[in-house]
Amino acid sequence: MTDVVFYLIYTAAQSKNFTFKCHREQTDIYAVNDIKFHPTHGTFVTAGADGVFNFWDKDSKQRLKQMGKCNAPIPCGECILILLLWAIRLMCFFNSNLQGHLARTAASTRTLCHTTGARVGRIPWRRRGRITSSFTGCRRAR
Amino acid sequence: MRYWDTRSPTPALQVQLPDRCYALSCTHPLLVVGTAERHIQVYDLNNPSAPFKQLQSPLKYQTRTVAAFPDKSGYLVGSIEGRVAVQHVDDGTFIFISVWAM
Repeated sequence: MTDVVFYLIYTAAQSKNFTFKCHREQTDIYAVNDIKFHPTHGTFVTAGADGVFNFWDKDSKQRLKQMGKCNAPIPCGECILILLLWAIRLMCFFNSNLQGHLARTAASTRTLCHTTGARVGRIPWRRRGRITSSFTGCRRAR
Repeated sequence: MRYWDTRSPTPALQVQLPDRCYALSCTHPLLVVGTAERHIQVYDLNNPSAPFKQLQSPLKYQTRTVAAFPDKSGYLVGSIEGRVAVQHVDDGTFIFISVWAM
């Protein structure tokens, strides 16, 4: 097997670099705990300490989907490609530092599995701005 | 940072990072490492012993997570301050593209 590596000269400017805010509620600011790319679409998910995970498309600079708030911070997530769907695996754990009503023991750690439709993929230009709910189901495991 | 071959009990290579490692992401041959003090190290795994680029994070606060683009043209940086940066490796120089020929 031969490993051929070549470098493509790329002249685009740094103006493609940008930052955006997320995982905020009014004046409360939460950490971005994990970022995972979709393995094929090039879109990505951010998971935050506020218990929310969002789908983004960096190329159109749009949020594709905001999911409902979990009642605990999300320390990590993983995208798993299964057949034509994909799943986000979330481990919610309870952080006693967050708020009193969220205080639990480590035994409360949960893994949530969501299956999503194709709608969290990159949006064709003609459909941009019209994306709605994309989730086909939610199954809670342990 | 240590590179491992699971068939060997000792690391294949060891590289000194500028500070404590907080986050790491790889899509071959692009490896991005986020460390304390907002350092970002970009490695080309064709030459893993030396960083391809050493940068400061564009975000003001501590790096929490990094994610390399699947197309290897850049990476995302997430901070503890609810902010994500989209960074491209190609500031007018190169991007990584590798082709595996059988």
